[in-house]
Amino acid sequence: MNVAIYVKLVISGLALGSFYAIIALGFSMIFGVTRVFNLAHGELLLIAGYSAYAAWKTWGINFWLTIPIAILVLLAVGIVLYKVLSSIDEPLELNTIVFTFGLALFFQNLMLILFSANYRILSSPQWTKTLQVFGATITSGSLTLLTTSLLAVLILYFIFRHTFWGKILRATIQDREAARLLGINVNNTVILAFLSGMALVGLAGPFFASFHYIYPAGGMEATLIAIIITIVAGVGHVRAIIWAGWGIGIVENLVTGILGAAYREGITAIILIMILLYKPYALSNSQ
Amino acid sequence: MNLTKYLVLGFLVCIIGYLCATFQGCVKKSSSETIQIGEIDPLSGKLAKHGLEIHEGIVLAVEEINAAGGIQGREIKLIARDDQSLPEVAFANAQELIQREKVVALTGGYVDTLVGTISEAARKNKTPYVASASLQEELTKTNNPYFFRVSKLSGFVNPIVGFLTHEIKPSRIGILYASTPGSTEFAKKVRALLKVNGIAVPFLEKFKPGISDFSPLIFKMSNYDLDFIISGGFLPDHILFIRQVKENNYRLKGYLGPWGIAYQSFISQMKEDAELLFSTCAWNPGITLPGTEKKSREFVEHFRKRFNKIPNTTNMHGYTSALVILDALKRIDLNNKDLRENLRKAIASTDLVLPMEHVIFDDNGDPIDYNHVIIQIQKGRVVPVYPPERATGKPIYPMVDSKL
Amino acid sequence: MIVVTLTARMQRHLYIKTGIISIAGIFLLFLPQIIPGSNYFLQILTTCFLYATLALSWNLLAYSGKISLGHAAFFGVGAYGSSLVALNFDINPLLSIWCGGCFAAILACTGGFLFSRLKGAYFALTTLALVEIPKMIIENWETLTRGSLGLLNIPPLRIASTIAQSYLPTYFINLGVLMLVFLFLTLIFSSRWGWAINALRQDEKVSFSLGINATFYHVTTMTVSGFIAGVCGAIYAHSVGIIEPSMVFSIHYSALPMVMSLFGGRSTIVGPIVGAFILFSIDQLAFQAILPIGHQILYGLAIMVTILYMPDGIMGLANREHLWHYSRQKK
Repeated sequence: MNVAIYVKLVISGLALGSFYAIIALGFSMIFGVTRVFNLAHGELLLIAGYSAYAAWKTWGINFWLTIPIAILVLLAVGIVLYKVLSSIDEPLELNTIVFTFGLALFFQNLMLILFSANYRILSSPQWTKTLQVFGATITSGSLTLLTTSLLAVLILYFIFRHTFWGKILRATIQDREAARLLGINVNNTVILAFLSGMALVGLAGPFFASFHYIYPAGGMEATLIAIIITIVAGVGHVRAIIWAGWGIGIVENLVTGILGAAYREGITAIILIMILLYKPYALSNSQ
Repeated sequence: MNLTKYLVLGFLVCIIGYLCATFQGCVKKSSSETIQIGEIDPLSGKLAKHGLEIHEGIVLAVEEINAAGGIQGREIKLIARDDQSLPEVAFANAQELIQREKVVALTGGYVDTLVGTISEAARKNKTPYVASASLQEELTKTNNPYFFRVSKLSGFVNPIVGFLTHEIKPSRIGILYASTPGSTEFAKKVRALLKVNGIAVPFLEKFKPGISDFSPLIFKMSNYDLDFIISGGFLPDHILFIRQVKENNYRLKGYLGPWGIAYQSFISQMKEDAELLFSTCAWNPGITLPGTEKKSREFVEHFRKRFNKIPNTTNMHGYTSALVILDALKRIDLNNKDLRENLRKAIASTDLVLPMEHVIFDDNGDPIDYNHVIIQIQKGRVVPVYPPERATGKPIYPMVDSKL
Repeated sequence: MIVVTLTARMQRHLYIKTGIISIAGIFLLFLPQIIPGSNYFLQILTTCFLYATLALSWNLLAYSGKISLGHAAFFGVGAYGSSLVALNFDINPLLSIWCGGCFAAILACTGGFLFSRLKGAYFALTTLALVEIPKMIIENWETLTRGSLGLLNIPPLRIASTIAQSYLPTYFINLGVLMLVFLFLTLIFSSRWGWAINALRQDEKVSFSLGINATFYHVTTMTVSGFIAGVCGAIYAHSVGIIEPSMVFSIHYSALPMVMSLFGGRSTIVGPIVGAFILFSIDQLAFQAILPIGHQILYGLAIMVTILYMPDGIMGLANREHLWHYSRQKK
């Protein structure tokens, strides 16, 4: 094994990590602000993926044009879902786990009936073009993943840190009651945050359909990725999502490259546990 | 309780009503005039695609026989159950079908752990079970007289090894396999046989099916100078692997995946990326056992009429397993008290020429004559290339040169 | 140090509880004699017993304030541990299932020590990751475990008097284990230990100031919970007879006990049992027969509607002061 392979492994790990980060953004936003532990995250992602796929298939439009369509569909789903979720009683986290577990089964099997069990990919030929960066080849697909995730995270970070709405959001995440005392309309904030979370899921959908594949039962993987990234990053820490994604992507690929694919999940799990034990808030550097 | 909750409730009731109306066809009244056959398949979850395909094949077989007036004037009724890919559910399903629905035989089944569990339930209840898709060799070694299956692992392994040693003659082979029992056993068998034939296997990797990035494996492979790659992954794994091979400019010379490539859904999704990949299939429209061309054409036609799509090899597995039971039912007296035991004996003495195989069971319930054909995707079509007596085209190897 | 003295009312409740449980147990014990023809119904009950025990094990940990997303780790280790012991040393499965439980308990105890510091979502994530470690070892230690080929021909559970090829031994063993676990939990929840973990859930800092050794109680709770889940996995392996790593370490066995407990009502001891019985039997007896292909839609809807209308689960409908509650809840 020479150095070139390690470079390749790290670069592909970065692309994979960016993909993970894109998947996790919506979950993190929704869990952070509304405390809804959304086990149906993957299924919502698939709905976005399927709507993008359908638009691409019927109208033959470009990959980028499918994103607004997917976002619109998810916003529509999100409005209905919010209505229902808001009538769930306390304890919210636990009850939403069960509710969204049911929702995931519901969506999964509805999609099975509507879209059949076939695997679909939104194939976009532009992803296979290769570029030379620092002597290493990188495909435009990986580059797209990298830039999209970075941009999305940076924009979110900017909103969180430098706008008034972001301040309100952070206050709501930190302490709902205190935020209410300060005169923040917590309900409106929560609705807006939930819908932006859904929009982020909508953004991730076409990427999932294009860089992975979609089929009705494929949501669980995405949900797991989202849970892992969100918790490692720390709830409500937008910038850390990209670090968490990259870290896990690189670790996974290095383990696969050096030890073999059979050890990929196990060793990644050990490293994850060690990070959490050593410094549970390592990435978000605050408690 | 507020208005929203009522609205939600109303909505849900509507959906349930709609679903019940849509699926009414599945719930028919049973009567003494019908003969019930049970089917257990993963109809939801990860394995739903193949489970549903087997289900369609079985449905077609039963509907054909009913359209022809049933068996001895009695209608055949199919009762399907979803095992959700869980063995304990499959076991409960089998018990329910046998005891509550009084089925005379069981069929269906995908993946060995589920088939194994159903076969145990069949043994306990003394009911014959013809599995549609099952591979593991040890499964039929349990001395279970009630267990039959229409497929077996050596039906894949032997043609593949023969094809590689006689046609392609590569010197270095890489094997990727999924961490499932069937795929693992496949990889081990193929490697052992290739070694006997003097072909080295320097690269052997196991991965979790559904893995989201193959590029590290591809980088690793590029160090081994492999002539040919065999992948025991499934349809989605092939999709990702082939795409990432292209993205990473890996010079793939030859690629064979026994599961998931010879499917129209794979070819239509992958388009030119599917070109020149090798796979195997037991049957495909146009690839049929010599002498069964008419039956095969009829099957394709009926299937298209019924489901509005072209059948594939998994549909055929379901169809074949159901036909074995139906054929055995024709040969026995349906008014006999000991129907299941007679049916078991009839199935054991099956001698039926079907498009997929000439069904004869050995003492363990394994099919004697189950052999896959090696195919290659050439210009979007599935072309059989091995064994020579069934080949209609020449294998194109290596695949990179044709692109350069 | 807290000194726990049971009030007369609680003492009475305890007697009533154990009485009702015993009656229910005896009824279920003689059920096969009452309805000898309905093997199928008993089969469903057998699986319900197993799921209920697993849900109880999850709920025990939840009772101490920790949400586990990784009970499949204990389940799988129990399944493999017991099968390997039974296959390699030719030990009666009736004994080996306890060995399986012990293996799982060792894993749980180690996990408990390491993770006792972690709270909430962080604890949940480590348990989620924990599943992958024994799975990786089992998948790659091919000489011992046959790796991904899985284990076949695992000896079935047998009780001396019953015929070999019957479902009945599993029925009685599952019922017995469920009753044992249930009685055990009923007793310990009214003991000092039960009060301590209850206090830990409600407020760790305050309970610390009361002299409760948080680490000790977390480790013991997790060990007991892991042991029970391991025994469930072991029973499962012997009743199914064929296992493979991705099957017994499936996320399904982490999610199922959680959903069943929360569905049935996590604040009661019987809640998880009720959840397991309702969810599994309604799906098997009704939904599958109505809609073989889309039954999971109905299953999902049933879960959603229940949580919308009964936020504390089925048993939560009962008064908070009700007999079956552990104690008064902090809301």
